Amino acid sequence: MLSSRAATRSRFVDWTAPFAIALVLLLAALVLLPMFRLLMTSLTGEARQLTLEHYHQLFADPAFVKPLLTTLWTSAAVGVLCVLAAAPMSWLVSRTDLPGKRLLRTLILASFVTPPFLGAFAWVLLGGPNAGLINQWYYALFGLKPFEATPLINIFSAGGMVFVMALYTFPYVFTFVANSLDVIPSELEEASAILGAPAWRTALDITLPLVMPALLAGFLIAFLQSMTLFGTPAILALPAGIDTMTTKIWSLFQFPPQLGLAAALSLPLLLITVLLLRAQSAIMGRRGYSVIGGKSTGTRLIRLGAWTIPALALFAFVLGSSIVLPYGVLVRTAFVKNWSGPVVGNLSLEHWRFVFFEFSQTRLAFQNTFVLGIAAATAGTILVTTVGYLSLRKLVWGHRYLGFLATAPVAIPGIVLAVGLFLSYTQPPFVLYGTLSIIFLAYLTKELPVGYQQIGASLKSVHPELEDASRIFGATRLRALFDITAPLIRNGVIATWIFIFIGSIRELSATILLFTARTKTISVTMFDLRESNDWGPIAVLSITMLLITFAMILLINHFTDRRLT
Amino acid sequence: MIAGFLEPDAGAIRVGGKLLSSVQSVVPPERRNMSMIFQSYAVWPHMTVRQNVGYGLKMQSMPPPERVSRTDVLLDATKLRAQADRYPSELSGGQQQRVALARALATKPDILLLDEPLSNLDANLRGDMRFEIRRLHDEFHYTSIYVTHDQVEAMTMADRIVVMNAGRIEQIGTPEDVYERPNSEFVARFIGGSNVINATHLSGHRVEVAGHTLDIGQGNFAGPGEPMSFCVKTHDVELLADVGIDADNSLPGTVRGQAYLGSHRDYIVDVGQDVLIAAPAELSVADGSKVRVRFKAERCRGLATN
Repeated sequence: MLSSRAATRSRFVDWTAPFAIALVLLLAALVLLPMFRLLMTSLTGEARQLTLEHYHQLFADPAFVKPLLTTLWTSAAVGVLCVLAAAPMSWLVSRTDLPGKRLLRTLILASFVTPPFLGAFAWVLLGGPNAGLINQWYYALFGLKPFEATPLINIFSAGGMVFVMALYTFPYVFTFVANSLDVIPSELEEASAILGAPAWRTALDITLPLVMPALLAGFLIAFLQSMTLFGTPAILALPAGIDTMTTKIWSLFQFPPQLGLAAALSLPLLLITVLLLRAQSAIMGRRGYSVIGGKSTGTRLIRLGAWTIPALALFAFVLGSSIVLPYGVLVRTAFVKNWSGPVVGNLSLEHWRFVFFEFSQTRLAFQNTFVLGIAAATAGTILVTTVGYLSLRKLVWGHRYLGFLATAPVAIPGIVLAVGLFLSYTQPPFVLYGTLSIIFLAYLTKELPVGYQQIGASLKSVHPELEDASRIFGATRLRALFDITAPLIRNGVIATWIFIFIGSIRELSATILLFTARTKTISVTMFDLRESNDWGPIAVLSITMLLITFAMILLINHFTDRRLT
Repeated sequence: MIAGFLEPDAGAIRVGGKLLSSVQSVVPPERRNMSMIFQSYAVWPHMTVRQNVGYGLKMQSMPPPERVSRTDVLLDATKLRAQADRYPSELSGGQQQRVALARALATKPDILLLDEPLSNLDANLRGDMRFEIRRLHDEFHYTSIYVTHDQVEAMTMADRIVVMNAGRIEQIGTPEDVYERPNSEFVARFIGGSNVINATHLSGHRVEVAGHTLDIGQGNFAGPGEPMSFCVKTHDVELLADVGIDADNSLPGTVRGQAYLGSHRDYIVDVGQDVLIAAPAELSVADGSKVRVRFKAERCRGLATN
């Protein structure tokens, strides 16, 4: 009797170990193989010899040094802008009696989830030098003539790019600082107020140093985001002849492709990302960040009084530029015949009809996007749930590697991942280029960290004793998983699926290198429409994509709100 | 390890002669007919009280009618009948604890394991639940293994106490054994109310502390010249305000502090090391006074480890 039980147990162990090893190998193939190919290609010359010539060219040729420098300074500028805007915004929302906080937070969330390239499209319509709406108003107001006078703003410039990037990146900094302010007990600030410091002194002397780590971390993330964006620079900077690292990598993929150089150019991007993320986690991990002591009992809100007006003006400017104007101009463009003309007498559903009934690419693009989204979300959810369960419960040998591999892609910019995947899967034995599979792999890999983090939070909220309890009352491990853990993390799993889905359907920077005529997605189609200046259809597709995104976010709220405690 | 969640590196666990855990094989938790009460209660939040209590019975494939009646018995015993269809999040901490208890007892386990079950409750509730756990234990007749860091819990509930230190057993005995006759410094300190005083063994029952000789009534001794310690309860040490009396079995010292507690007065006296004394409340000696400290020899217990 006993020996047969022992046999069942050992058979169980025998199966988990190979399963875990297979999982580690699968993740390694997903994450490490493309990076390995990237490195090898960057070191291989025409005659397949080992060489540093690509790197040499990279750092000697101004055509490459300039994009590198542009990327660095524009990303730093975006970081600074984000901090300057987001720090006061988060303080105002969490510490003062500013009216309409709920609405403001919702709008900030909206800029958070707006795909940056949609914002860039919208700003072309707003801030194009001649036909851009803002410039049209400006000309009309001062009786100037388009094409002759200097425009008020020219969005096709490095400055324009920085501005638009910052509009959709500042929510990262806002979230970091706001979360940090939420855990800092306001008593620390009240203590300073009681000692006679006016509100602004307290904010500078006490609050600012306390949120400094969050600000720094936010700055680094903003830097990172801008550095790895492809859409915004391609839409706003390229027309002005300004290249960034991502657009340069992309142009190296145009005919004739220079893969060695593209690979070599990808590595600095990867390296900087890894370094920035390390710096960020070092800052966030510092002792000072988790504030000790003090209960956050009823925060005392600072009365703004007359300062309410300038405070609201700040929000109006930032949110107006990131949400109200762009969304407005997209809606306007979608419903008028000629986007630069007046609305009156110009209204039309022509673009909607064109996109959904005439344009041959739409159906395929929607189909591809949804097939990819559903496949990546489903495979990704299964993968991260399994990995999360095994690694967080420390059930198998190698659980550390599992967790590491699942989080590693966070350090791989989308376009770098695409270069790696392209190099890995264009030649035998794996020829996936030209199929949806290669894009699927890109999405799956890219979304692993998001999914892992999401499911991890949900798994951590289920105390292991809940499962242990079920076993001691007679359930096998599998039964316990099925009866206890599965229902408890169900909502977390659904939320994970939706998160990956949202991330996938809006992906541009990896898709742009991997698509072919048969495997276009919505985002790539929009990017193509831009070449022919079809702004109406772009606006229609943008609105559609935004509506899908918001619907998905409502779904997430639905599932996370009702999470059982 | 008793429950079967961990595998032993060495040794074996037997219950009633049956081998449950050894290096070669481990009977999984679900086949041990044990029950457990977890520190976090581990009451399943997605099941009602009734579903929680009935879960183990369902695992035993008990037919539904029987299951309902058995569940009812436990719900009555733990006074949870009125809350049967509520979810745990709608219950108080004490009620959740009772759900865990009812759930654990429903399967008629041979052994009930309790892992610091009261550590998350407030003091009032803790007293009630202590009584409740003991009452159910007496009512349903099973073996309980109760893990706690609270010596009051251990003293009041146990028939037998196993004092463990860093994974090793220090002493096994009735509460009275452990309290009156601790075998080690760790046990003496854990049970509380004791002074542990460092000394050097002279010979027989005599030890030396700071140049003075003391008689120790009982316990283990280290061997002549070897360092050792002995323990003595705070109320078995006498404070003599008059230094002049050369009382036997005593040490000279200085009062370092005191606290008036109504029923008695606690003194800390420095005799080269601190001694805590529970003196009569009416005895009042100023801080800094020279005093003598007399040890009741028959109440002192040697704590040599061999």
